[in-house]
Amino acid sequence: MQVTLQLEGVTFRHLVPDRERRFRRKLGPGIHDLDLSLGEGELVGLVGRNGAGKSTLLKVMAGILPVQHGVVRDRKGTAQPPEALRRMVGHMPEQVRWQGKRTPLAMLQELAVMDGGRLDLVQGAIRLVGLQEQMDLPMDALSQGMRQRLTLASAMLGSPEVLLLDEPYNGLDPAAARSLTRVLTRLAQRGVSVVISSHHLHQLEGVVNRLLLLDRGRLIAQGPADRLSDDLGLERPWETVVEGERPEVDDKVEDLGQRRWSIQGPRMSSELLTALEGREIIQHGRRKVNLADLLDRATGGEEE
Amino acid sequence: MARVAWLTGRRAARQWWSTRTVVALPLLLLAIPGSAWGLSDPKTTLPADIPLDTPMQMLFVSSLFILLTATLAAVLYAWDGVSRDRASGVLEVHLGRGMGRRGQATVIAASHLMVTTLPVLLLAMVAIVIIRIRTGAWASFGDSVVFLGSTVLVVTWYTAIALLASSYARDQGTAIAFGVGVWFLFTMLWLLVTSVLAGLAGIEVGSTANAQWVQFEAMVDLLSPNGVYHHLLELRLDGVDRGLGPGPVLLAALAWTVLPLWWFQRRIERLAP
Repeated sequence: MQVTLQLEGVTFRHLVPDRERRFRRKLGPGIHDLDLSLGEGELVGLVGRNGAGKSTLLKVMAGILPVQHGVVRDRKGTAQPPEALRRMVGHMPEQVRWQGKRTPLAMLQELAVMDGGRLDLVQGAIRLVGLQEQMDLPMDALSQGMRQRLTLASAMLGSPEVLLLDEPYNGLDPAAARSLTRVLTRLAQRGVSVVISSHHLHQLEGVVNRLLLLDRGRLIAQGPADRLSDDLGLERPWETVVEGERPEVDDKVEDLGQRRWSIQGPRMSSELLTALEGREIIQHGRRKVNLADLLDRATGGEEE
Repeated sequence: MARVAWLTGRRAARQWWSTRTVVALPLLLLAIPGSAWGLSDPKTTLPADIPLDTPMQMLFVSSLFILLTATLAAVLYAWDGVSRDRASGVLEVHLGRGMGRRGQATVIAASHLMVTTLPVLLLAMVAIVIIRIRTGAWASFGDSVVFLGSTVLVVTWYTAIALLASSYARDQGTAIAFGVGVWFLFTMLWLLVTSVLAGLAGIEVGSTANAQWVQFEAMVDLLSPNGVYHHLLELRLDGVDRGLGPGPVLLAALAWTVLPLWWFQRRIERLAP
């Protein structure tokens, strides 16, 4: 796979107030000595706890924060300064509160001019995120979901080679989230490398090819979610969800409400089927990978 | 360059058509053409025998009203020039664009300067015309240039200071406290600062007959944008000598123009959103 962006030993640390020396600042949290490569058309999930450095990493990759140590290379292997990164990367920050009487159309036109003046790309970006009906409304009148779409459109302007999305699913209703996933998949098929940051693993399920596990600014593990959990020795017991009367089984049964029950333990067998007779089987499969478990295992169970 | 100009014009137009103009414009109208109208009335007399015989003397006195309102308008437009976008996350979107940070700093500064200096400049010209109509005498070309130029400069200084303060503020409350605080310091409290400094230096405070105090006050005024503004205007007044030649005054004006704008640009270049 052709590499579109490569980070080698990249470090960035924020400056924070020094409590011991007034009016002085010291190096605080950030990302440390990070090596990472993004393949063409790859969909990557960036996960970690709050404060793990996900947003900082995205900002460094987007050329918004400088690289203090290390280097970021493009597809030709050439080291790129932040100005060049900003031209090749589209970045969607978390929860931008667009406000004012300006319309999304006017806002995107300004951003397109900042990118070099390709105003013809604005309509395409609006269509891509489904903002056609809202493009002439004042931004004050947009719902949170629509604002998310506007931020996404701003990241897509200029047809970037790499798209970095910070918590893009926040504030989106399920239909909008599904449509966002479709858009991202389509972009990846066209060769755009997409990085999606989230602290909810379930949002990335079935979307990303690879997970990057970030903890305290360090990349502690990476790979497909299932492989990661296997590599880390995480148990993923079988889970059966049924609707009806409480099942009479020896395994652990959890009440999910609305007469639904989750049975954790056995794989489907004729004995289990018999025990579940008269109930509707809603779901059966291996329990999904849980981010908290993944992080606990990867960090040896250390708390933040 | 064209893209900086386009963005500057668009941003300035947006600011002009905001509700802030509803507050700023009446103040500016009252203070600039309004004061020129009142001061050019032949029946007007001022306390302490302040002369109002020539158009330049009238413009000089009207500068007090300009200091109160034009600088306030500059702060009113610029106090959240950076902090608002920073708090909402829009600044992060801007800083992630292909346009360099220097260009973005130029757009922010130029648009704020445009939205305050242009109306103030226009109204200051109207003031000159009003004085001509009421007294029958034009301010000389040199007087007019100094009056208009220094008025634009003082608005520029306040805009740059307010933007700089805004770029350091992480929330709107701090931003407005910085903006109004700076305006209040230079407009209302500066005499107090000067008096305290004079007291510390062992200089008798307040007597205009005391040459040492007059010169000390003139020097401390170089550290205040309002003081430098008055120094510039005094260059065109006969019989005013506070012991400073035009050199230090022009140097201070240059420093007040260049340093805050340079600092602002540097700040935006290094800002972590």
